[in-house]
Amino acid sequence: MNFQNRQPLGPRRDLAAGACAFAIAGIAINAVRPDDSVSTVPLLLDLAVSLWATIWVAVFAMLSIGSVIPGVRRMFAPDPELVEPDPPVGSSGFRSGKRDWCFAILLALICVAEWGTHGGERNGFLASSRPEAGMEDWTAADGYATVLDGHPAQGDGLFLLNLVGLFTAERPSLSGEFDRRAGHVWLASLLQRPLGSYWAFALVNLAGWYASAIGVWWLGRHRWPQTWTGELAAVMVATGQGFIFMSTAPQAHPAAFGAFVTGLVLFDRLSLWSLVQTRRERWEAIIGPAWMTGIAGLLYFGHIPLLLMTWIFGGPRMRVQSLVAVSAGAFAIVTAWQVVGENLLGLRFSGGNNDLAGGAIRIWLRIMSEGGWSLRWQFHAGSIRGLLVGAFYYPWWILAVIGIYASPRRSRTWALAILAGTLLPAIAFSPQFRLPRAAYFAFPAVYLLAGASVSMISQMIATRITARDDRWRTAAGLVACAVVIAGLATLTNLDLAGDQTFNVWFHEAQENSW
Amino acid sequence: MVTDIRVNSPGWNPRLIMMARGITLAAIAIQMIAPTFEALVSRLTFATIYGIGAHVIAGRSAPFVQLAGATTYLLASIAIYVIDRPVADPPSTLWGQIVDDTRQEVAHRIIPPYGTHQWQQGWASDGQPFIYVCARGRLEPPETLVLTVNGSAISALNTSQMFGPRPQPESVGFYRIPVPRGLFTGSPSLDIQVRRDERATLPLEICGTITARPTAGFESSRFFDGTSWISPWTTRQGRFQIELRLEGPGGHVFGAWY
Repeated sequence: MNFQNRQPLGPRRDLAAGACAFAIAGIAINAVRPDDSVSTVPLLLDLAVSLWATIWVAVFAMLSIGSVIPGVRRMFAPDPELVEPDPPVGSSGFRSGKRDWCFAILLALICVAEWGTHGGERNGFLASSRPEAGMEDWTAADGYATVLDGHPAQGDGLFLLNLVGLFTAERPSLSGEFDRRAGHVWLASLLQRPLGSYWAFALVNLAGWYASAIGVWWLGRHRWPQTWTGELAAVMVATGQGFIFMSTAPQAHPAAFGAFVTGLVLFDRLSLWSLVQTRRERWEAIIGPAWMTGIAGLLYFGHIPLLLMTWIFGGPRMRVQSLVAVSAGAFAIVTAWQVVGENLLGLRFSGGNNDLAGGAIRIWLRIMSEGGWSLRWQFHAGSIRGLLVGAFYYPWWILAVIGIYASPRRSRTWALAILAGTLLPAIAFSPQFRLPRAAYFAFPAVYLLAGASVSMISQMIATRITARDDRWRTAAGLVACAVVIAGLATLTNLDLAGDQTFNVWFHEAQENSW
Repeated sequence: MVTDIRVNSPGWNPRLIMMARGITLAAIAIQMIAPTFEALVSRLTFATIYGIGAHVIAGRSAPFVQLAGATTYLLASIAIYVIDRPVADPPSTLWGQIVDDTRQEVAHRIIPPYGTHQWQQGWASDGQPFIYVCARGRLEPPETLVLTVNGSAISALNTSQMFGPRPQPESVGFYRIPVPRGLFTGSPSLDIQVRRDERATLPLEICGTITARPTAGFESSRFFDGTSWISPWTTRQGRFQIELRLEGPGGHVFGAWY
């Protein structure tokens, strides 16, 4: 199907959303009565960035999802996938060569080294809850901790043990804070007998970590072919703040991050986005992603960013029936556990972490009912800029922004859809809790865009500094990449030198300070 | 038509794939042998959802990856029956010790980490040492506890020293008591005692918690019940919540030790 001749040229959704964000943020800053949030230049900039980012994400998501309506779709420039067919799966993926094997082993070694050096009492989640971190005033010297099999571990682990005992048939069914995340506990229960609870949870984290690195590598190869984007982004995952922060903590996030990336890989491999498929392949392309999305929802709330991304990227290019089918299938799987749990096991799926999403919606409604001043104040009090910088520090964002321009439009559109789909839930949740770990679902997009930018810059440097043959240029480029990656990894590993700043920011966002 | 060159590659071994699927089914069947209805239902739910998911996801990966995944799943499923390692309850993170007799005493030894960068930085920045004691409720003389360090009476706990959140008046919480810097010169360790005020008439409660990084060993916390010394490490795998913190002028905590 060639839409190029049938559709008029129009504005791009990302640019249109950007212009809207500038306009609305400008009005919100100037038309609402002044208060402390605009009293100094840093606070004003913080508010401006928070407003702009939120409005861009919301408008881009609305314009993209709204494109399921043909009238809205025709208003914008056709997406590149509708003009040029996707590259065949496998043409730019792994080649099973010696180099690929070596790189896969290198990635595994980096993941294990980071996991090992940030485990136990050095775990960032745990360390950032200690009094020295200045975040909590109620914790004892060990922070919010428990002791699993003799190892200090992040305190939530205590509340997962009843579920582990349910799966190992040692304990009755008892409702808890993490009933919705039972998929993660089931995975850990498979390893509990041979390894014990602490190492079972830790190993599930490592598996999610490595799966994320490999998945991002594959996505980079597939969507940024003939560049080092995939390799660079994979190393950024292996040394990533979110994974280092979690390391051995008994938490569902690394597994959910892994499921999120696996979902993205699967969507590409099953050609979910392709419009030209046979009937059987279309069903396979719908059931597979729906199932994977449901699994991500049983680990943590991974189904929400995956589905949002699917609608944002798929809205302009997929049939609405397919989008509805994927969403319905995913929710059916997540709901199936709740139906079984409530009716056959007596679990309540309420209280504590189970109710946080509903609580956030109620807070937004209350804020909006209080008028423009209250709404704007929320962006100051719950600085979205601080949330995003807590998840990814400035160098990654700067590289990612450069990467937007360094990427082909097909890859850029896909990455922006991931950004919007993952940041929207984190922003929506922010009035209740500012959780950079929820915003960290954006890591495939941020790291791949950053990887694209590093790849481009290193090529430019290599070309400038050496006029010799290609081999020298490649070597010079590799050195430039290695220097940048080493610099970034040094930042995420600062906690090993006793500096917990990045862990603290990842724990509870950066607030209004720059 | 979607082209998957891997499926058509010479390395795509259908026999290995069939073997992987058979092993996965065997693992699911083994998972179903559960001694309780609840375990059966919960395992069946996830084994089915994840089993189909694994088929969809791993079905596109290399045959040896599928085989390795299925084998790991089978071994883990068998391990549930073969290895006897019950889910161990961790030690309690919050417990209480009632002190209702003037003969009773809580003792805790802390060895300040003088040689560490953390301590030296805090000390050189004129850090003020504080002893933190966790106790239940609002303590006010005479119904209170008395703190002694290295034999010197430091303070009777009172409401002005209360620190951190207390959702209810009877909740547990910290008391933050400044101690003179002079106590640390020439003293390798701090021997801290907490006793009831001699005039107290009501029972009082000191908190205890887990211990993971004691400065003077796991037996550094002790309770004298009037006749003998008991270690909470032996009875509860824990310690009394008595800590030393070195704090800067703005409330910045250089370090917390116990």
